[in-house]
Amino acid sequence: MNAMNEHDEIQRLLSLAAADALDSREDQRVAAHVRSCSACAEELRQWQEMGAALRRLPTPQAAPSLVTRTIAMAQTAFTEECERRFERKLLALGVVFSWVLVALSWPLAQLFASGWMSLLGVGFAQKWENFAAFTALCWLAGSAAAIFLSRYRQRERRLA
Amino acid sequence: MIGEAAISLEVPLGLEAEVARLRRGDLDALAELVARYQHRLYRYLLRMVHQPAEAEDLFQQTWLRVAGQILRYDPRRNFDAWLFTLARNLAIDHLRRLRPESLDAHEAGEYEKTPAALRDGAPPAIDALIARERTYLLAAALDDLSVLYREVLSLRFEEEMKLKEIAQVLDAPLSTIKSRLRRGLENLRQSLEARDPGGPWQ
Repeated sequence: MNAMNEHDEIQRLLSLAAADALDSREDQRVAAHVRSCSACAEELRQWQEMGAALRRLPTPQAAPSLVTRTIAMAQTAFTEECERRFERKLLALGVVFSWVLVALSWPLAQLFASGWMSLLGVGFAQKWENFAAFTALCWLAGSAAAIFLSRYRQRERRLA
Repeated sequence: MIGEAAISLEVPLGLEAEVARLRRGDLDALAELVARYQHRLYRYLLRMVHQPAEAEDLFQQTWLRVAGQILRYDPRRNFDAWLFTLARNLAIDHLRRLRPESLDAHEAGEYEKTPAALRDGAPPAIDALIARERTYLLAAALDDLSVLYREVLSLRFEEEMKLKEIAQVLDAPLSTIKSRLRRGLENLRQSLEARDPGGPWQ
């Protein structure tokens, strides 16, 4: 590479050098070149001054009323987001609980009604109407509880 | 000791703690974060959209988005970059809706417009510009740049972000960021010369 090509290439890097945006190899190349090239050294200095001037530009200030308003709005939004997440978790927990209840309660009812041996009997499968009715009852009770809980939370939120 | 100093420069004191407190549901931490970033974020949005009323609206929307997404935020990510990404996405959507022409970069074209004096490497006397405190001129020239260059210059010089952080905010490769930075600076110098043809940097 001849000296002229090197000079042209370094010139393209000078603005980035002033912005501290070169990798270490490019940085070393620029540093080595400007030691022996006064034109590039001068241009680099000027780019650096432009960078310094950009850093010194006055910062527009956000109005205190805007900041206060924003904090209030963001806090409300954050509280609502937390409540939404809590309710989603509660709903998931409720669904799991309902299924566990359905799965466990019918055999337990059988156990209490007819003793241990009934659990081994094939008659359990023949009583599917009872099982379906019991399942529906569980889901209805769960839905009623969910509606009650949701209204309770809505009222709480209104009062808050 | 050196390591500690480096860490304290990387993460502003208390920022991580504020983010962690907010993620645990502490509303005061949200107020502290808004206060911490109030001027920086507002300045960035103002640089993007120019109009104070629009910047204020975007400022509020950004923090509403923070409130909605902070629980999904990965604390290993850089918070600055995450926050400015949210702000940038809102600003770009806003510009796309209201002033789509402002997003036309014509990157290659703008570089071609670089005056011969710059391409030939003739050094304009920027020191004279600085000496005469042409701050207003510089701010006006910055505002006149395409939004793609304006935001890179603002993030690098005003927000003091590293190139990697800027790449995260813009969701662009490092090479693109460097290219925009260089072209932005060259266009800025060109604009300064055009604003004051008889100026000392000719």
